[in-house]
Amino acid sequence: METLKSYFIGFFLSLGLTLCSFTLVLRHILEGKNLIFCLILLALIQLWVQLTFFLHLNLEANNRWNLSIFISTVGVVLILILGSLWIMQNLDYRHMSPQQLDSYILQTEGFQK
Amino acid sequence: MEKFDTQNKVIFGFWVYLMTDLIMFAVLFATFAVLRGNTYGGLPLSSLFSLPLVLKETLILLTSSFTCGLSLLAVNHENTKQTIGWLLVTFGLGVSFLVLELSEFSHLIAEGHSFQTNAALSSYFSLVGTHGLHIAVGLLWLLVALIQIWVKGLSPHIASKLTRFSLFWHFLDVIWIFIFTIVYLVPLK
Amino acid sequence: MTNFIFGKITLDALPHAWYTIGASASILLGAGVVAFFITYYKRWTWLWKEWLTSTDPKKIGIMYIIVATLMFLRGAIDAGMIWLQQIFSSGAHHGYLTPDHFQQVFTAHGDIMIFFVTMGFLFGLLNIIVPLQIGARDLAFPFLNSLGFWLYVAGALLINMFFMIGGDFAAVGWLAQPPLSELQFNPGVGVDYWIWSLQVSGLGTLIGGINFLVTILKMRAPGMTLMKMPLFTWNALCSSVLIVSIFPILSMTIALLFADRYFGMHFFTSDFGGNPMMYINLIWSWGHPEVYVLILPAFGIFSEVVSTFSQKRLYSYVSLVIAALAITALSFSVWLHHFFTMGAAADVNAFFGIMTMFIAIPTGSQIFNWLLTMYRGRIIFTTPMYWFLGFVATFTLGGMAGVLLSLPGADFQLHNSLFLVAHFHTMIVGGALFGIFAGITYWFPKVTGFKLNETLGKYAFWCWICGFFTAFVPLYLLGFMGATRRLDHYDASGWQGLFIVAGVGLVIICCGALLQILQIIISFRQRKKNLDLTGDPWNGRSLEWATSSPPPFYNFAIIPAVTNRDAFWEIKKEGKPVSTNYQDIHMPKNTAMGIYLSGFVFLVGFAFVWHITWLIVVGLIGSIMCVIIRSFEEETEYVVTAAEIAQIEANRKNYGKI
Repeated sequence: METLKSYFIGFFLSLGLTLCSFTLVLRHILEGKNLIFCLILLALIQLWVQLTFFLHLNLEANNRWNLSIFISTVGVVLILILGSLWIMQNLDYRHMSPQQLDSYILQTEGFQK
Repeated sequence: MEKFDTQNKVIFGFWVYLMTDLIMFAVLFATFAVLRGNTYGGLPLSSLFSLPLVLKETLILLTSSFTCGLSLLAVNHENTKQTIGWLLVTFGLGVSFLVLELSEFSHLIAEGHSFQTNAALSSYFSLVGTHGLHIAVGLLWLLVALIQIWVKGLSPHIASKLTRFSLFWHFLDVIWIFIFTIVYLVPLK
Repeated sequence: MTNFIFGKITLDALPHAWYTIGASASILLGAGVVAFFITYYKRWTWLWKEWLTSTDPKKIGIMYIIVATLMFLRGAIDAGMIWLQQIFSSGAHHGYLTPDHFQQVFTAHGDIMIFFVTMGFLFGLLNIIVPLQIGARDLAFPFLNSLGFWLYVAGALLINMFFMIGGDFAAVGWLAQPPLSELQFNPGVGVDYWIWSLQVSGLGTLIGGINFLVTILKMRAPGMTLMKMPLFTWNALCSSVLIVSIFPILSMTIALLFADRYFGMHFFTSDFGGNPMMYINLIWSWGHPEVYVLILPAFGIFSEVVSTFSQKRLYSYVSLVIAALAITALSFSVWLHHFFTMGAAADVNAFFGIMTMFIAIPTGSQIFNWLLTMYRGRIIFTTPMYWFLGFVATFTLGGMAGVLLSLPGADFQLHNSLFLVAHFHTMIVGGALFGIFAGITYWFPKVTGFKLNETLGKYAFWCWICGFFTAFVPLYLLGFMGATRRLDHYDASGWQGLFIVAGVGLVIICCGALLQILQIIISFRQRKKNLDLTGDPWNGRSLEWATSSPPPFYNFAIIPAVTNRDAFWEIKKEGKPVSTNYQDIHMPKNTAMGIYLSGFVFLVGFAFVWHITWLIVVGLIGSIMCVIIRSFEEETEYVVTAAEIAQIEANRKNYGKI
């Protein structure tokens, strides 16, 4: 797998995905939640591209532990980041003054921009 | 057989280290995600960045990751000249990335948006700066490896080291994907 | 100019209070006495060549245990000081410690007992036993092992350094929660010492965790699949996975606190948009898995002890493995139960409360495995077995207190009370520490070649267990009565009696500790009576008993082939003659680079504490140079030839006959 071809594929795919991400933002093609969703999706695809074509992470027997450790680490990372966001946003919400809370609700419910 | 096992072990150990590094970055990402809006009355972060500059940085880093891979291929073909050549290109690209990043930082600080200004900027500087610090360490490592190739030639010892270096360098590129996506591109709600 | 050379150090930083003078004097005196004896017996070269620079995990393990014991004494003195203050500081009396000094004492007590005592003992046992149990000759990265140990020592030095230079330790509680630990409220160097001591020793722990993970996954004897590993190794593996996953969180979180203090950033400050609650969130996402790092190896030890002394296979090996794995996975989903009272909504609190109750299931199920292993076994009541039975009592009590605390509603009442203090002491003393004592008694003959005195061991056990309950049951009661933790003074006169009872308990525990020291001394003097000549004093089941006691530096002349779970038990049953078909083996060379590198890292930490810029630069350049020099060394191993091994093996057999 470690061939010139795999590096070229990886390089051009990454290049394409990166340009896609930047174009989406610089040309204002998408906005709001759709934009965030697409950007995260593009980043995840690029993550997969680089893992496969640059870091050569695959299911081969002598790579299996690398992959298991990677997957469990990603699990820890997700728990840490999503958990922190959940906890901290909840705390922020509950630490708002009544006025802040009003405007927050008006914003999240779409009554106000 | 025993030699192969040792290399396998060393590379696996290095992989585990990279995973610990990934978790360190996860802490920085989490902190950034939580604090990014806390500008304490200052300008929102997204209004401070110049995206074309970030695109330039991204392309440079991506290319350096690619050339680093090419140098590893040259190592596998035991081609010393090509190895050194691609490593030098990688080094040059790494340095230019770092120069761009530092110029971005100094520009921000000169405009009065330093890491001491507010929590959002602290978390921005620490996340991007830690990545930059890793790049700097990688460049130092690359320099030492180049000296070792020059002194000793392409021994299996150095080949293993370059394999680990390329893992490290690709890993930093992976981290950068998420930095440019989450820090620079994803807008604040 | 003086500012440039000495940073923030002034003459005031030298010892001038009674405790700093006393501690500095006793440290210097102790070091002086040791140095005198080493010089007198001309042992410096021996010490340097055979021990300090060694890469042999057995020797590094012993050094870990020695340092941990020294730190244990330090931590125990702190405990005594806390209790003494709390006994007298009631009503009109204000005790003998100022509030600030009292805060420093309980901070140091907590940090030392967790980071330097329990972790030190565990790394010691892991180093000694894991390679033997999996049939390996050394760890995956012997140099990194030595480096990890020396970083741990550097951290231990940094946490004691304030006695000599500084005078004040952090007065902020063992996790230094901001904004209290920020520069605004704690401008002294105490918190900086705290940061760097944990940073340096945490780095050592992280390196050790990576090392054990790779060793266990990649270096097992032929035939030892994962499901044939002894349970101590399984738990060591889970513990290492946890270390690798959480110590980066600790390092980075403390680094951010450091950035706040040193570079004026605003992560956790109470102004400029900083959020102190984020620190609490991050530090506990390290902190909760950390308690499982401490307790899992103890579970492993008890599994070994119970099956050996019940002379039976473990009851349901598979469920014990699943329990360890479940604890490892679940431990990442409970951290918020440390701050239920911070103000999260009911859904968040309920989620973490329920997860906490879940994690009690695999933890508790293991108790049944052990009890069922004993059922119908031919039990031999040795000291390790006593520790196990004591553990069942304490751990069940502490576990139930823990489940009680996992209810957010109850936690609002009990949070930060002495009930909590009693709970985690029950888990860490009655769980991890009893496990460590069982392990040390159990494997003592393997390391030294002679058994410990059983009678004194049992006396020590009875002192510990009686003292333990006398000391901590009153704290549970006081917690219910409303006594908060970290009290330097209280007005409620009804509490004093219970504090006195707790103090009596501490005295009984101290008797136990003294008996343990006496036990080691007497066992050493009577070692001829208790020699272990077979290498298998307890009729053991796993591979560490297959080699002699103490094992040769290469552990096994021929790596045993494993066909079954209780590997050595099967080898004994088959009774095949030992092969003498020796082959050349590669062993790691000794290296002093770990010491030099840790020395420079220590300088970096010390210089950051005192803002000495030139020393930071020197330390950093020194550390980087050490790494580069090490990277140029290719011949890090040497060969022991088959003939040499044959010679050593023959000599060892003769030794056994004498």
